[in-house]
Amino acid sequence: MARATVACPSLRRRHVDLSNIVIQVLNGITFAMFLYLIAAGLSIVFGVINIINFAHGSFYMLGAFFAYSLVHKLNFTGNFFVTLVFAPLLVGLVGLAMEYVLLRRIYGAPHFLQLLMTYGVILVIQDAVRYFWGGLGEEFVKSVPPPPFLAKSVNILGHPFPSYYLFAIFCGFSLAFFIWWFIERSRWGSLIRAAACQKEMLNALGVNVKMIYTLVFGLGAFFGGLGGALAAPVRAAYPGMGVEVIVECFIVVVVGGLGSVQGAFVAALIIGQLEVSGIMFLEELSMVFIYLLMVVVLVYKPTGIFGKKVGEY
Amino acid sequence: MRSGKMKRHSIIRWVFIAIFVFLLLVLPRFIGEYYTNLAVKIFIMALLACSFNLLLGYTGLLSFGQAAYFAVGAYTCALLLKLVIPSVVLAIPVAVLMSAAVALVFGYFCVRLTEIYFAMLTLAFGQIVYTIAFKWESLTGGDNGLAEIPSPPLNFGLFTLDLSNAFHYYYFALVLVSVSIGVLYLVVNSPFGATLKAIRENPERASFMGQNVRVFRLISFGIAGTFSGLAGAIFAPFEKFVSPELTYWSKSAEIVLVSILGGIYTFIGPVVGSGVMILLEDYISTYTSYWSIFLGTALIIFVVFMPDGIVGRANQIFYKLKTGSLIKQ
Repeated sequence: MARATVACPSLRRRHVDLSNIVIQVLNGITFAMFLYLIAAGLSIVFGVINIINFAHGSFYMLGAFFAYSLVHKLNFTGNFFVTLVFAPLLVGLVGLAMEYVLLRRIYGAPHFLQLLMTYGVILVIQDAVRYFWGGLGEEFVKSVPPPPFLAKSVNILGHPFPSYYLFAIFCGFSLAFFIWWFIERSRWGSLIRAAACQKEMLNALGVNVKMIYTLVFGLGAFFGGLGGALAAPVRAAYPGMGVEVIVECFIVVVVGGLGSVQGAFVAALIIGQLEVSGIMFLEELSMVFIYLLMVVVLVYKPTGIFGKKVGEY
Repeated sequence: MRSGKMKRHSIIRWVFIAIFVFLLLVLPRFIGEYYTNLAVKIFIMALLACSFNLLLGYTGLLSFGQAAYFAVGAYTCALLLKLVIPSVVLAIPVAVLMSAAVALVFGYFCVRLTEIYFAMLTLAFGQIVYTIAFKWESLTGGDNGLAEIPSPPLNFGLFTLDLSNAFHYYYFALVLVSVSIGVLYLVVNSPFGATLKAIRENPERASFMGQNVRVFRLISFGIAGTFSGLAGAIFAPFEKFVSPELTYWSKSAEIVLVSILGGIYTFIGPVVGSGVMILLEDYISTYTSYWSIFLGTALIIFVVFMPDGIVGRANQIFYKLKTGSLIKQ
């Protein structure tokens, strides 16, 4: 199973000096931004609807494949931003449909049934992607070119650094700010927070909580798709990318605290650095360290770095 | 009156079991080599799912890394057979002990948590085992796995089982799996099993009654890991190949899936689920390579319409026919 990581040529160089470290840190931040964008959606959905959505990785995959189709079939290479908006929107629609048709029926069910249903959705999306984008039962990788004006690299302290990475970092930080503002400061955000902790009361006040759930799930899918579309020029699109990324997402969400979006941001930054520096120094063990971090957090502070209350679990 | 009825009931039950055992014993004569191999796969999956269900169905803990103990058993068995001594008499017990030890160590941490946090922690441990199997190339062969695992003959004095022969392996697996499932049956019907169910229903009340919830959960975790390891140890010489795929999280999800398909609140559910799933997979894959889409759809339909699983639903229908009212569950 080929794990796609943000491998840039400078990453393999073991010669360590200050400028190398700066590049490594930037690589780590880039990696963290992709992780954050995917994990944010998962975290919002868990925080509000209290469902662990295994199919979230599939949204990420769909985002990448929609981006591929928009760029290649509809020739949006020149205007990459159109792709960056439309691919996640399409994924968001898939998410809305999934919540409306399926998840709605099992909110009262035990956790393992919810997990199982989202696992079923993974299987369906996996084969649908194979059907629409690939061949019968074969492995395939679809590459998505970055937009021309971001295809070059810039010079940072004497090292070439892909300008697309800088763009990804910019997108990550601005979206993190937007999500924070949306949840904590906007009117919609206050409704969402109310739906997360006082569902019945909100319903009694005449707010359509069911619709909020649907929209929140769609929003989560949108962010998953955005992560996929943004990562596509770096990591390409292939079936199986969703199943791989979901575990990394879980690590981020668990370390940051289940349901805490700000926590996910900090956790993504930590894990991004760990992963990149791990690849540099101890390639064999880097993933083990990250899983161990998850284990340590779960054992000593199950609510994560930013988790505030323990809830009923 | 009542005891007479009970007696008749249990006689019918034993007759059914005897017929079933007889059918299993003569089955390979009629189904050919391909389906005999498929039957062994079902046995292995059935044992794995049954051991897993001790945790989910009886203790109320969703393990999302059960494949790890299966893989520890399979890898240990494979390495012993390949490198140390080609003897299953030695390799299988050592593999089982190894997975029991790993399960107890991981379990020590896992049983501190419940619900979704427990699932996440078992998932993390499962992925650690996966990463080790994937990265420790000198020992585990990395991504390529270990191939050409020997399956040496087993000499009983009176007769010899040639384990490279599908029919002989069938009986070997049948005996090991049915004895293990029998042991698991005794476990869940013992006072220990009753305590586990009490913990599943209400951990607080169980602890107020003086039961050490963590210790019981840990023992349950250990037993589940041990039998999963045994399933793995039976798997390695059968498949003659082990790879890190065995311990990836989707494999753990598959175990959850067959158990729920069969019904987790019945003892025999996971066994039925394994049979249905493997036969269905075999049947559908001969027609199309898009097997996942069928499985996924089936899964979704199951969760919505039959959350009690095949056996659970069958029990309800049976009960309804008998008494005219549905069991309230």
